[in-house]
Amino acid sequence: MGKNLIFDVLDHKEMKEVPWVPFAGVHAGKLKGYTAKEILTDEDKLVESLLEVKKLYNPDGMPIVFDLQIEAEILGCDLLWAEDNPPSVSSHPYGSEKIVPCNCKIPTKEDGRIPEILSAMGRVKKEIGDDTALYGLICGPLTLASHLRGSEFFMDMITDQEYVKNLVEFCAEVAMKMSEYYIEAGMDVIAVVDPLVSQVSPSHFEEMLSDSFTAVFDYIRNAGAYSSFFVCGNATVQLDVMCKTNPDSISVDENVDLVEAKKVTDKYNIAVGGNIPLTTTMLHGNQQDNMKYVVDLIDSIEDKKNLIIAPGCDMPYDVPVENTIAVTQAVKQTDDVRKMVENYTSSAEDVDVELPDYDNLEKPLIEVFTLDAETCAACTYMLKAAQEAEKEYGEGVEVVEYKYTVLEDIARTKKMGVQKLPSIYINGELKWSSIIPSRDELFKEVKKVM
Amino acid sequence: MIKVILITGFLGAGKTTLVNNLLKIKKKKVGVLVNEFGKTGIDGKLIKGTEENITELNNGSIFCSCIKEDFIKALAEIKDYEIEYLFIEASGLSDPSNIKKILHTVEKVYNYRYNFSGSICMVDALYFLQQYDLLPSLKRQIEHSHTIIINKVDLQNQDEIDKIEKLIKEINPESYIIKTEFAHIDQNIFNAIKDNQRPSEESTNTQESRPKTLVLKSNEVLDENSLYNFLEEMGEVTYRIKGFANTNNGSKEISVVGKNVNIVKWSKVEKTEIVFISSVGIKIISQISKKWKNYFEDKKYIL
Repeated sequence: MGKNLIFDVLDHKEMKEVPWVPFAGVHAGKLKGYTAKEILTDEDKLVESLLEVKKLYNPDGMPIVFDLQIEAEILGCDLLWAEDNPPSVSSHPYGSEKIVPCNCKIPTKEDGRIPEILSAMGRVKKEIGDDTALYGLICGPLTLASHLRGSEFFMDMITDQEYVKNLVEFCAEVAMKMSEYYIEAGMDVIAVVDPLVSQVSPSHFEEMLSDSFTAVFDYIRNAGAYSSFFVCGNATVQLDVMCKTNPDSISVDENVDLVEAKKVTDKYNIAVGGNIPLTTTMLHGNQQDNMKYVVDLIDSIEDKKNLIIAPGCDMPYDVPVENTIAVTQAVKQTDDVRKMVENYTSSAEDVDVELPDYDNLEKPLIEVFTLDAETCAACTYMLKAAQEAEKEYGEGVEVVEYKYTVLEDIARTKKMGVQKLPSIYINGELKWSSIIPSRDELFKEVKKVM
Repeated sequence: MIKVILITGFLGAGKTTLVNNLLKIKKKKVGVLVNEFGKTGIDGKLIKGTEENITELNNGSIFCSCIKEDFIKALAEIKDYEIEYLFIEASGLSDPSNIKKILHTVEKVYNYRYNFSGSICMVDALYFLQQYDLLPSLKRQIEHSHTIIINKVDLQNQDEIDKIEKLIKEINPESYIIKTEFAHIDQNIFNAIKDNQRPSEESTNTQESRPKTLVLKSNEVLDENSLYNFLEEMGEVTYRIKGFANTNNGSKEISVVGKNVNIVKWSKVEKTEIVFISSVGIKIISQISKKWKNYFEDKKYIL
């Protein structure tokens, strides 16, 4: 049974089968014709959509809500809503003052959208909770801290580490409280989703963040649930310190080589999940592309212990249903599907893009390569960092974003040889890869080419 | 006019014991305002006598900005009680340097003037010299008190007591020092208490300087020996531990300061409830998790 498969993996047992967890966040709404905003604000539509996920995708585990802004909204952030994406944070209550909020601000069960979410959790648990492991997703402390403080947070990490530590500790308290509510509502796994972890060096992580994350995972464990540490972006170098915070599992996206990642997580006997590419395969590929990717992924990992197959992150809204069903089939009937695709080679669409003439630009060109700054938190902050140059130099610079959800931009990203997302290039030269620059660092590089 | 006596002193120095002893001397017409860091009122349960006049303010120092408003509201309510004295037992990490400003606010807003008789500061003869460098609030507690009680002198040698006395006099040359065991005082204390007229300062108690406080609750019956060992280890990562436990030897009251673990018989408690005041920040959660598992294995608790 699906739920038991998940539990067995998270208990680190020897496995013959590999479980499948589709991260159908806003995509769940598409299955019933609802927008992202509708399912994130309407309990009935959310429940209806989630039951459809269960029916179509036969998951062993599934998240209830994939929205990292629930806590931020309650704590004072304004949100920008979209039809086909989770909302993004558009204001930061502590952006101009270095404050650690009072513990009295920690969300209660009655705040914001929490009541509807808890009710939805209870209803879904009743319907499908016997055979499907349910995941409650919470915003990780680092990402939440950056929501509250805004872009200044990255400067704080250099100039005031004590403040960063205190703010992240407050956010860890929020995470523990949210975990408590979700576990009470019946969630089997609490996923701490913290995209920004991939943007912080391992040594900074250990100095300022490890204690808080470890506390959250210990809290979840003691409360009787399993835990998962979700990260986006290239978190290869951070994997070791992430493992040391002692979650039951880690989930990575397509930027990370899953085979290599498993070598790290296996050392700590921690499960690893991932990492079907969201756009090139799930969104823009066809059924065979998805089947082949999953079969190849499963076959590349010899030891099936501590392995979960999942999308790299929250599935794009418009992923074709048949692609996800193809993934389900590939996970559940791997031998049959392997035969089906053994002679299949993907013919990726060739889109021709022209690169700028970098040697003859009129003004500095800052190119930001992202997954999508509206949905990927790390990408949001990378783009905002680049936009500081626009604020400073106005018409004197040009800032452009290329998103990995747009075909032409995918082609450009490949043509430029971009290795990691997000990245910033200035006049065609890579300047920052996966690490967000401070304002001073950015201006220094821009001045060199002015 | 209600006479206010503020009692300060580090965690475990003997403030609650002093309050109980003061209540024995002044039995009638006394109110007690107890300030705790934890969300559960342990000290309130430990004070015997004037139960109907005990008000508890939990979850922070009364001098800290986030709870000061509650403190002022409590003072506004208490002014209508028919009491002669109000003992305010401040929490162990309180910095009381703005008490007069607070009383002045009450006067302005509620048109009632409390008579601030003075502060008594409890000093722990065993641990004071180690604790002093750690927190600015301790120095402030001594500076703003006239009467200083060095408690637990039976547990300390004379050389150390002399050093403590010397340090206190350096900080507050006008102070009046009393040495006690178990906070035993007599009627004369009330003549000794004085307002030392020191001007108000901004308190160092802020949200950021507030220590991490946790309450552990459990419905399990705990082995008393295991509990002792657990608390002894936890004492190394806390400023203070206090509470009540259900053990295989009946209900117990718990009090821990550093390595000093006291578990004594108590009247029946419904469940185990222990407050930890962390000296290691948020790491306390992982410490509790690890050590609880060592000593109690799969017994359940919640934080």
